[in-house]
Amino acid sequence: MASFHSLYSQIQIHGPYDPGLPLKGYESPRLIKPFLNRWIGKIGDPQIGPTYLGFCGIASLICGFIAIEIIGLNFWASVHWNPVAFIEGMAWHRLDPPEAKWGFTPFVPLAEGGWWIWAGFFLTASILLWWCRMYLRAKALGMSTHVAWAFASAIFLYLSIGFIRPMLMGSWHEAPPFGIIPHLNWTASLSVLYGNFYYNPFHCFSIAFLYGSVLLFAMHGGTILAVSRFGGERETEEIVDRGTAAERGALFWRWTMGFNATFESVHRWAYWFAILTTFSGAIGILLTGTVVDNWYLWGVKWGLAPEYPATYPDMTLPPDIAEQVRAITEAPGQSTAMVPPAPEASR
Amino acid sequence: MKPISQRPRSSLVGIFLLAAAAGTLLFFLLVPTWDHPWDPIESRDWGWRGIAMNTFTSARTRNDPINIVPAATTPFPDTGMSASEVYENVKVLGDLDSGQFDYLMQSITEWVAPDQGCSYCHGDGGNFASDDLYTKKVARRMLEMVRDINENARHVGQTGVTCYTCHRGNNVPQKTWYEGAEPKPPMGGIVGKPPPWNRTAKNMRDFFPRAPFENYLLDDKPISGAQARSVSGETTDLADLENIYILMMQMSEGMGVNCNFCHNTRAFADWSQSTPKRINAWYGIRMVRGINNDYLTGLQGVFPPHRLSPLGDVAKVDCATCHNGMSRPLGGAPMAAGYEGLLGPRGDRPIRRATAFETRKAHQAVITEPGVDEKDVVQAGE
Repeated sequence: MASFHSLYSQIQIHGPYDPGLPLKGYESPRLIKPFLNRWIGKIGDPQIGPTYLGFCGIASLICGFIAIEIIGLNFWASVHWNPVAFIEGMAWHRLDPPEAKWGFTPFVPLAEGGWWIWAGFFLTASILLWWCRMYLRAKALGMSTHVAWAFASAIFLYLSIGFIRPMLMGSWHEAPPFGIIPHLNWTASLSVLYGNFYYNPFHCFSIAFLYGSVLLFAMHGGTILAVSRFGGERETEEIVDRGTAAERGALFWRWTMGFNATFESVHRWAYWFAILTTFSGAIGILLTGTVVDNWYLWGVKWGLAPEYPATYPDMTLPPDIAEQVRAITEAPGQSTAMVPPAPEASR
Repeated sequence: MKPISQRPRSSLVGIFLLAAAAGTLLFFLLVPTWDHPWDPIESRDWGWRGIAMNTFTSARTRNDPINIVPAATTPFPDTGMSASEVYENVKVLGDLDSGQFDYLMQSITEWVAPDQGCSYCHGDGGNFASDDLYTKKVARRMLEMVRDINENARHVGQTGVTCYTCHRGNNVPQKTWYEGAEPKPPMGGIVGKPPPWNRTAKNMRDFFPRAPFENYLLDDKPISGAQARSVSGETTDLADLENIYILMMQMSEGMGVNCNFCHNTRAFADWSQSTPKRINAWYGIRMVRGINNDYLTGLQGVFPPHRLSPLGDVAKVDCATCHNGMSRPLGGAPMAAGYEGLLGPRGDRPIRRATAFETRKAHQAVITEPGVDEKDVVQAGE
């Protein structure tokens, strides 16, 4: 059977279905009778199905369903089962983690955060089972497991936020709530509480890798499309046997920025940038509150946050605030970086 | 082209998808209110160069009919007789010249009840001295409130407020808030807490949880500790923190400004890096507390049920009530100028709450800035 070498082409193959590799004896049957769709073919392979769920996939979907049920039913119950209010408040509904007084104990009454723990447990189980599925499917195809490990990096960030850091801090309360706007509020509040995440160097790294990933994706995708007229979409072959497309792509980047990746290494660049986005983010989360209490003061201490000349006219602080400021300034052993100079003697 | 019955089914799917995409695009273009490219957001830099202490404003907000200053009216000539000599049952403005009094009454009608006229408070019976209507009792208390604010509120300063600052021609100011429902656990406590908002919400703004308003604009809960761990070692509850965040977003939206109108956002808590606006805002929060506690909640028994929330509490104010999306209400127009009756009792009435307005003579901290080389400073704006 002729094979068609193309990653992305406007030519669509409409013919006999590709059944995939034969199943091994212990594997469960594939699902979805295959069919072809011309419109799907415009953005990818026109053949949909068969797909494979297997034990991990089915268990993952069940756990995910339970997690979403717990969250959704809590949302709905919180409006006394009023369907209109349920939909109306969808963005605002929330399922909060246990309050600080519960610490990190797993035994919390359901109404006081126990549901949050259960929802988190099933969501985590669902995600980990899906990871197993990715790992096993790669193995089943005789592939390496790069994709599963990249996914693991994202899972590590998710677990750091919702489980490992709360464990290190000794309180479920540090974890984000479930809910659209509530979890966004949590993000903003946590950053402010720990002195502004923009001075967290691992947050900086994470952003650099995220934007870097976008840049690399644009450069790589652009290069391959640009040399496809020379057969550049046959990337994998040109990794081994460098053809004119690979030569021209390399020359283009050598001429424009003095250095070029190869058809092979550019994929490692992209892979590691993507992995390090979530991995460095997770490190930054794990250091917050455990090692560093206030990232702004950390930035001041290490010269990351410069002092700027004042441009505002002198101002008189409200008396209450002036008292607070003075109390803080005069207390022994307190950092004075956050407070203005001591007020004049009372008058 | 083949007739539609012979075309592959997938092209029908495609046509449907394209139609759905076009419909979605049209929805997002037409339904929300967009800032048009020909109506740009203005940016004003107010801080050391390069640190993006920018304030954003838009002509659309300024030109919104609700923010237009009404045309000036001509005061009536003085009559030489006080209001209490001319009219009966004048309790607040008795000493005012009756010419000024008439002028003020006419203006109040325009500010609060332009459609209903005098009878909105005084009734149709022709007895202007009668206190039968709740509207008149409320109006009298509101008059005391305006005089108190103009006399004592540092937040308002020399600008002065009138009924129009909040009412803008409406019987009830457009932007107010009610208390949220008491948290009653549904299902006998098996599932989590109910939402803090009640079912009266009519727009997005009303969906904001009410706890921030109740804690900070009604109760005297301190709005601090958002970065306390670093400074005082206090631990702050993340739930309180979210409430502070929501309160601040309400201020931001109510005044049409972004965070760094008041704060240097790299260190929110630090007063030494904040703009002087933060001090005015601090007094504003105290003023709002004073208005809600000393005046509005006291009127709860006076209002008829249809003016109260389903929970029975009176409408209360927040920043947006006066500001209506502008950093200075009505662009900072001196609204109370020319109205002697609104200028307050000249200190002969006690201030009800020491924290409401600046009445404490405690020491004041003066921030002395380090010397700056004049050549380096380029300061735009106010």
